[in-house]
Amino acid sequence: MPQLDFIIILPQIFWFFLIFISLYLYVLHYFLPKLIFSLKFRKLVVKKNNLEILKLNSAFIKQKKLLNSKLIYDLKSFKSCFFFNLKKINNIFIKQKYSNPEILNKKVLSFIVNTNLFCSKQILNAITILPSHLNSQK
Amino acid sequence: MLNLNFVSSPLEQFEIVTLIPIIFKNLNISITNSSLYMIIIFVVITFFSNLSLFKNSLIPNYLQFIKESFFNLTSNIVKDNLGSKGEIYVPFIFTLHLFLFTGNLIGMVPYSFTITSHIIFTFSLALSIFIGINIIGLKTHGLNFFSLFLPKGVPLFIVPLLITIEFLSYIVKVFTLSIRLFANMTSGHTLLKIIAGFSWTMLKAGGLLAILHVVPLILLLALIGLELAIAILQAYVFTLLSCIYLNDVLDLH
Repeated sequence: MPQLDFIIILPQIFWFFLIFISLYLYVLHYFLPKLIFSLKFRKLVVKKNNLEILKLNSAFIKQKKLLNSKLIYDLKSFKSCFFFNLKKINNIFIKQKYSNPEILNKKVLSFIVNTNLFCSKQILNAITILPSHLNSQK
Repeated sequence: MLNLNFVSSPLEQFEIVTLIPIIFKNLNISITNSSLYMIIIFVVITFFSNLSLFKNSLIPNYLQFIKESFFNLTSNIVKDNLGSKGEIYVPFIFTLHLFLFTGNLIGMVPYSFTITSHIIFTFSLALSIFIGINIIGLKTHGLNFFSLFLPKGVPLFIVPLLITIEFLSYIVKVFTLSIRLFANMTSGHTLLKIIAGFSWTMLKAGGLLAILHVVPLILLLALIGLELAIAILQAYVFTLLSCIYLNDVLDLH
């Protein structure tokens, strides 16, 4: 069997060590730095993008919170305007002892009807008023 | 003319032929066809690596992608078996894997020579790795390294027997590592040679056998596919086992 000849031991071992060590040095100094550079650079790009996303997200959330707080403040002032007057009306009704809701409803209804008929500017402007002699000739 | 490529034995393809005799102080270190093929492997690796990394772009082209996926494969072997402390050993394992992978694949080319089909080559590789691992183990653990041979929780009267068995299986690791690679390569190439010889003999015989010589050829095609897979796999298995032995020594089980 040719593999078991003894004469070929030393050349094989010698050249194997030489070629393997030179290959190892080549890989270590030239090949791997170039190869790993692009892999690491890609990871760095992804990491940087993630940081950017995080920064933008936090700025956006801060702006949103500011907007929300302003909105709530304004709405609260609005609400206090309305219900402040409503409280006054409530006080009037309680003082006059209108605790019955039916009478209250009737009063509110008559108020609405009268204001719309006699105090509404549009309706009053739509009625034409003529002098009396023109009316009687009709 | 007819007998130009006629070889008498299927084992003749493994013969080592001296090409350039060099005798240095009574030592024979001539360039044989084995050394020539080692030099060819070195040239192929450097050629391919330089070509693929010439324009190192962020989004890789095909050749760079092949090299990167090969590196990722080897790096994953080291990461899975050795963890984070194994980063120092990645260049060595990568060189080992690349050398064996390229060596096995170049041997698949017809009429070429497989360097891993020689027991001396694989044995010297396995022995040097084994000696290196032992030195690393002794340096990290000192004399505590010999506790590798005694697993935990063993009743006292079995201890001598167990130490002998563990020691023997530790020594045999070198031999199995080298013989696995050597035997796979040698048997594969010998089988291919024999079946190709069948086909050639059938063709030369003439008559019905000359038409039937296609049958061994089809079998040969399937076997070459199998041999290709075995070549790639054996290189992978060699590096994987080296990583596992290194991890065994660094962690002491």
